[in-house]
Amino acid sequence: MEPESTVDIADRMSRKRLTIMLIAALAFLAVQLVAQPVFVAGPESVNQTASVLWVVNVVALLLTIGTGGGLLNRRQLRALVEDDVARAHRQLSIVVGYWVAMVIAVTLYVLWEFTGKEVAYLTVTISVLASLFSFSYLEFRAHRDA
Amino acid sequence: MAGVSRKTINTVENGVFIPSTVLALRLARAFETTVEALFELSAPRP
Repeated sequence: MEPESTVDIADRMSRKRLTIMLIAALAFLAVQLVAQPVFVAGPESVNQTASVLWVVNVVALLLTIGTGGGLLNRRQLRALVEDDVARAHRQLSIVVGYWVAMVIAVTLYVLWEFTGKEVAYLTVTISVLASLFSFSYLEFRAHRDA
Repeated sequence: MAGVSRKTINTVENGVFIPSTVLALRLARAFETTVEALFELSAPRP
């Protein structure tokens, strides 16, 4: 059996990244639907814990979509995983997240039934999810065509 | 050879992704041909 080339490894890692991002997005969505750290009234300590976990989770997801992940991989491999198509997909996904954030924020502003914290929570959560799902879809489509 | 993934090559071949100038030049060099031999503009609409 021939040893795996760097291109093969990059292809495999790109597919793995797509899967991880999709699972991370689905897990984030599931947790938010269950925990609802801003909307569900509960003990203060529980709400604070849920809020902190939300912040940590959002920062991790933003760093993933912002950098593309794989920062510990060797440079040549990372260059192949983060090549022209992947970078274009990431940029497009970030733009999608931006526009979703704008639409959500303006909609909530018009509705004006939410507190500032609730608006921030909804805007960030939904736009981060939109970015992740957008990137996952674009990468899935590119790998499918490959 | 061109420093990009298999996915990128396929999306360029399928017309899904339009390569940058740098990528087009690298592809031409890898295939030992010219950019014009690899890519062409579609006919303008009447």
